[in-house]
Amino acid sequence: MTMIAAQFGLVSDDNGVLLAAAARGDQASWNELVRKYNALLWSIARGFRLSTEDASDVVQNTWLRLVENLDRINQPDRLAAWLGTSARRECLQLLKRNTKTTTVEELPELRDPAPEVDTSLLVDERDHALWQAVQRLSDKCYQLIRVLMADPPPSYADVAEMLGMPVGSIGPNRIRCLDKLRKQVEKLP
Amino acid sequence: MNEDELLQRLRAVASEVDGVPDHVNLAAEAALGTRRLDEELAELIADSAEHTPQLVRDASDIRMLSFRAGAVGIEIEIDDRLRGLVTGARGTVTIETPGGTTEAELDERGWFTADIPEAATVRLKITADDGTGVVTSWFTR
Repeated sequence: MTMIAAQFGLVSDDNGVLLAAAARGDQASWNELVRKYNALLWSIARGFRLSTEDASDVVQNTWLRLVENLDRINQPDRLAAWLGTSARRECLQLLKRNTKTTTVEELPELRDPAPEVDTSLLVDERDHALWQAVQRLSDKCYQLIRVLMADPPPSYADVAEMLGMPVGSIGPNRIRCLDKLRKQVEKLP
Repeated sequence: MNEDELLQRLRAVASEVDGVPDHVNLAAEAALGTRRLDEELAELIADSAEHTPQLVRDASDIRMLSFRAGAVGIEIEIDDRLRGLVTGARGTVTIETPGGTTEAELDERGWFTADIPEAATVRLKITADDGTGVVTSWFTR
């Protein structure tokens, strides 16, 4: 498989191969890793309700960490969990820093910027309502649902590791949070 | 809608209104350019921000970080500026952000100071007089 891919100048889909090639400086392999996991990292940052600027910083820092550790990823098939865990750590550090630098003079809206998304792109009113309802979920549900919404969705084992939750709790929480979401949507006019 | 359909719908909505911005994809791709092969990585061995309880911290406290690679030690204090002490090597310090670099001189006792932007992610590269190099892991002010 790998040999065929190399022969036709294609990029592998195996994380171990991609990491090793990226460590040798192969940009195409690195870009493939970015393509595979950038949406997941973005979802994690947004799951912490970070602004576009803060989420961008978190995602970039996470990739910088991977570059630093290209030779040390022991379980390439669990790379999603490794990246997700790093991203979560970056989010927590950022929130801690923001809390620390916040002073009483600051305006409340500067302190807690809502993610800047353009919902006018949604032509279907039901999609609009659904998106509004997702935003109103509790922090814990919002985080989980945002991660499960990533494309492609990560495995439960990876989700558990990156969110610091027991793996057995992902399924039940998924049901509970989606149920809440459905009730929210039904309540909307 | 069952649960899978609901999630699928959400996934479609999210990619429409909150997809990964282009600049984030480009920055992620460019990150490979920060790979260093010639320098030894100095690992973070202590960070005061990791251990100090939130409640006793205030805006005036000083963040302290320690890095080590073999015989080379790098101690950093950050308040308004960054102040550092390099032990085990003499030479120059390069302060790197993903977007650029600035240089700082080590004084005769190994101290240096630098200005770094707030919330910047940086790393320090120590180029010793004998040509060997050490680079710290990335940290965010």
